[in-house]
Formats: sequence, C-alpha cells, structure tokens
Amino acid sequence: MDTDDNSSGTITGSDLGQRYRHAGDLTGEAPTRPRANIWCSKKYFAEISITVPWGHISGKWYGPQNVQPILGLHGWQDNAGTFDRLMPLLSPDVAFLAIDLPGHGLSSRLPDGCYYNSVDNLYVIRLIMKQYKWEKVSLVGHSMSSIICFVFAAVFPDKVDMIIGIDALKPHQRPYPSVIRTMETRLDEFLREDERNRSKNEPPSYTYDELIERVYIGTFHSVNKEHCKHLMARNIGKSEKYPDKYFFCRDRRLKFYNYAIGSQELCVEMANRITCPYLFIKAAQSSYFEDKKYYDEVLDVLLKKPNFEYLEVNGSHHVHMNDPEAIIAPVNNFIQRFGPAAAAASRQKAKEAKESKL
Amino acid sequence: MHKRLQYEEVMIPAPWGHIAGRWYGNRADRPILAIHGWLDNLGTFDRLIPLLPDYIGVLCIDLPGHGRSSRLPPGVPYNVYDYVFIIPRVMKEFGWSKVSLMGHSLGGVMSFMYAAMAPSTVDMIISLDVLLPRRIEDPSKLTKDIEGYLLEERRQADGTEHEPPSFTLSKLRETLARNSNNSVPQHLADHMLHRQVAKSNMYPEKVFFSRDGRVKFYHIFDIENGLALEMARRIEKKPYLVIKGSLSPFVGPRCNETMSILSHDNPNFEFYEVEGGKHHVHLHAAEECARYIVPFIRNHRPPRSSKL
Repeated sequence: MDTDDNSSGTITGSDLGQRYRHAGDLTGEAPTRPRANIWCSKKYFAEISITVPWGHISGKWYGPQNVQPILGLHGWQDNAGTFDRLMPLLSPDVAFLAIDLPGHGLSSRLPDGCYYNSVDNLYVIRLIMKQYKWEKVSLVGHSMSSIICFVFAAVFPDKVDMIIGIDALKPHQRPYPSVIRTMETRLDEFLREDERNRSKNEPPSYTYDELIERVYIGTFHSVNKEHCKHLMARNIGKSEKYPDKYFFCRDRRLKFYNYAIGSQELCVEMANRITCPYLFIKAAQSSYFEDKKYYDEVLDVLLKKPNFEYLEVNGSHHVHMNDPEAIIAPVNNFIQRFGPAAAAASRQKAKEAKESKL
Repeated sequence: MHKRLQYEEVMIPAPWGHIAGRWYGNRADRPILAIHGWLDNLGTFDRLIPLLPDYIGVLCIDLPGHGRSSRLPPGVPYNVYDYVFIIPRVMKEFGWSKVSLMGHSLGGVMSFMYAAMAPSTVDMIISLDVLLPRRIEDPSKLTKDIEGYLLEERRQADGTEHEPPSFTLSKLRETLARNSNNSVPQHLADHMLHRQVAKSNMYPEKVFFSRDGRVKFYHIFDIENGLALEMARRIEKKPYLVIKGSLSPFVGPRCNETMSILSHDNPNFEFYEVEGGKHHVHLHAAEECARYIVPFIRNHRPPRSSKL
C-alpha cells in the first residue's frame, strides 16, 4: 500500500481516463495531511492506493493510521467523496478508509471488455482485507454499497465486526419484464461503450458549474447543489482542448452495472445468516427502489435480531451528505460499541477469559 | 463410422486476448454457433459435428478460460452473465445480424439467456441436456466460490501457476470419467482433454490441466422461476430443440413451466429424451442426438437459407 502525500493539482496518466484533479483542489478540503501527524483532525486525510490485480483501488484515509479503519463504500457512480461531510464529525480516535470502487473516482477501471457486476465488490472487500491482513472488517455503505454490506455480512458472517447501511437494505427485486428490458439494453450498448472507452478522444467537456448542475440532476436532486462538489472532486478531469472545462472520467461501462445478486428467497436466507451488529439508516424522503413488501420481509427478519438497530431520519437518499448531523450521534454511538476498537477489545477479553480457564 | 470433417482454427479478438474456435465445414454461409459447458471445451462436439448436415458450417468456440481461449485478466471473476456477451462479440466479428445457437449445459443456459435478451437476432436454438441454470439457494456457495477464486488467483500470481499438479493421461481420463459420473466415459475422454491439457516440463510423461483454475469458481446467474417464464415468453414461437439425457437431472421438474411456455402454440418447439443418456448425451450418444438434431436443422436452416 502506498500513502501518497502529494497534494499537487493533477495526477497524470497515459490516457484521458486516468487524468484527475486532486480532491483538495475543488472541495476546499485541506490538503493531504502529513504522514507524521498521526492523531490529527478528521478534516485531514491521506490519499491511499491499494494494489489490486487490475491496477489499484484509491481511497481517503481519515484519522489515525496505526489502528484498523472502518471501510467506507459509496453508491453507484459516486466515489469516496460521499463521506467527506460525515468524516469531520466522527470521533477523533476512529480511523476511516473511504475507497473508490473499481471504475469510480480515482480507482483503476476494470480491464477492457470486462463487465461490472455488483457481486464482484465482495471480492474487492476481501482483497483489501487480505492486503491489510485484517481478520475482520467493519463496513459502512451507502446505497448500492449498503446492499453490498448486507450481502457481505451474510456471505462472510465470521469476517465482519459491524455494518452500517445507509438507505438501501438488500438486493432489489424488480418486475421481471423490466429486468429483461435492462438486460436487452445492456446487450446493445455495452460493447459500444466498451469501444468508446478505448478511444483516445476526450469525452464531452463542461464548465465547472455545468458539471455541478449535471451531478445535481443526475442524483435526482438527492444531493444539495452546494455539496455536489464532494462527488465531483474525484470524478472529473481537466480538458486539454478547453482550458476552463472539465469532463467526467468515470468508466462509461458503469452505466451497465449488473446489480443482480439473487432472488427474494436468497435475500431472506441472507438476512437469516447475518450475525454481526448492524445499524440500518433509512432516509424518510427516499424511495425503497422495489416493492416495499420485499423490503419489509427482510426487515422483519433483521428486526428480530438482538444486535440489529433501525433508524429512520428525515432526508433524501444522500442524507449522510446533506445532513450528516442528523445521523452522526447514532453512528458514533454504534461505532463506539461495535467498531474495530470495541471488537478488538472484546476479542482480547474473550481470549484472556479462555486462557484463564486453562 | 464417423466421417472426418475439414475445419479451420479461428481466433476471434477480444480486448483481453482472443476467443479460440473451430469452424467446421461451409465457410460461405453463416454457421451454427456451438457453445460448450462449464469446465469443458469445444471438443465436446467432436462426435456430433460429423453427423450434422454438411451444407451448413458449425463454429465451435472455447469460452474464456477454457480450451485454447485467453483467460480473463487477473482479478476479474468469471460470470455467466458476462459470458452471454461473448455471443454478440462473435456475431460482430463475423458481421452476422442473426445467430443459430447450439449449447450444451452452460452453453445452453447462455443460449436461453441471449435469446430472451435479443429474440429478434436468434433464428433457432438447440439445447443439449439443459434449459435453465441451477438456482442459488445457499449464500455459503458464494463464500466458497469467492475464497476459492482468491486462493487460485493467489496461486497464479505467486508463479506456481507455471506448473499445476500433473498426471498421466490415463489418470486424467479416469478422473474425468469419475468426476462426470461417467457422463464422459474414459474411452471418449480425449475429446475433452485434447484442448485443455499441456505437457509437463518437470515430468515428461505427465500432463496438467491448462484451463484457468479460476473458472471452477464462476458466478451463476440466478434465474428464478418467474424470471424464467418471462424470458420464455420473449422467446416464444422460436424453433427450439431440447434434448435430455434420461439419466441426467439437469432438465428436471423446475423446467416444466418454462417448457410449456416455449412449446405453447409453437410447432417449432421439440423435446426429446435419449434413453440411457447422461449429461454429455451429445458426446456418448451422438448418433441418437443427431437423429433429432439433423431434421431440426434441415427444417429451420435449410440449404442456402441465410448468407453471411
């Protein structure tokens, strides 16, 4: 793992898709914090690059670097910037690593010709755990990644300390005709976009304000306009043709993400298998993304678990960006009780108790 | 006695390397695209192809990670959904606007999925001992597959990939017969082995499996019953031939409703069961399968029916 302390304006790669501006340039965030200052304030972060077989996973490491961080995962077509406004509110002793999933933000795209599947993010989490030699992981996920956290906790129940999911609970069940229509569209367009990806032509570029507007519309006004810059910082490149313009540099193939993970029966079975402490936060003004009966069926299973906590808050789908204050108290409380430090302490205690019996 | 057929080895470019294939017979007209099953390769069709009408070509391909096709890049898991995209990739390479599909097992599932996604581009489907994939009912299947995949990927990255465990050819024949529940009997095993073994550098008398070890841990596309029915509705009235081995469980009760939709008011749907047939029914009972396949092809792809 490399910790990149360079806060210069641009990271230049061999092609347009790899040319990004540093987050600090556009968000007003402080530059990358010095490595030596381990216990510094949450407003500082270190840029992290984790080697994976197809390139690297980029991330922002907030807080102390001598403890295991919570792993933060963003939603579809977002990036690590999704947690920018939540980070300064976390307890100062908590470490948090917000990553860009493959093809998003500053992370490498999947190789040409390859397809993005939601289920592959389970591999990504395991790769990161192996890189850092974590036995267990604490996860915070928003939207698509909240679903990934749910699935990961069911598939690897012995490898999770805690999960916090924000505003999407489980793999969505969509009407069958619409599932097939989506598959048909992807079939037509994926190969075309995959080819366009490889073209050396610069994508369409826009002024900064136009990009803000596009992000705002793209999230269906879920992110307040003044906070869109946090999602944009890791998502745009500077145009070479037009000095005052920028373009989106996320992978075009992300539009054709395959969300399918399994049936409703499988979701219920997954819910039954989750054993870790689990906080789920539902934004009241956000959709369920599926017929609510499917959501309710899984929620009913989870609510019977002693360490499942459910919180409904006023806000849109990106409530953690627009109004982080609304969720920070329960989040901090939950992390304090079940996060990496608490989990490590309880494991140590159990180990000592076992040894004292011997 | 099987006649020997002329074929040409083909390599279809893909961004991660190439898709290897064999084009048997007629190169002037659009061929049937034949797709093998999981962990197999195009050798699966060796005994069937000489029995098919000689006016129509057959292009058999090795799926990525199988046979002589390139492996997917490091870190990219194998997934049935992604495999379906191989079909339009091949079509694009040869400029076909339509495709005739013949698939065994995984290849048959891919054919069903593709036909549901793009029904207007498919003119016939031959499905050998399969219709729908098995269901994913247990999350621990995912656990095993992900961990197995990562372990194999680590093994390959460590450089030990250069020489996986090696065996004598007769031992591999034996293993293949045993692991397939004798669906690929020892005396036919070479059809499956000739494209997926390599000679050991360490032990001159031995060979090893050269396919990508990661394909064992591929991700199934879970087609629940309601989705299967909706897919079948999109395909309806297409020429569709399903052949089942009577001793094989792969075309079971779960397929009944889907088949009734495919066959409803469809004179072009045919279903046959080969007595004593196992999962590789087209390999060990090629003549019986040909008895049904040949008239089906003659009916739905008569001579000179479609140009490239």
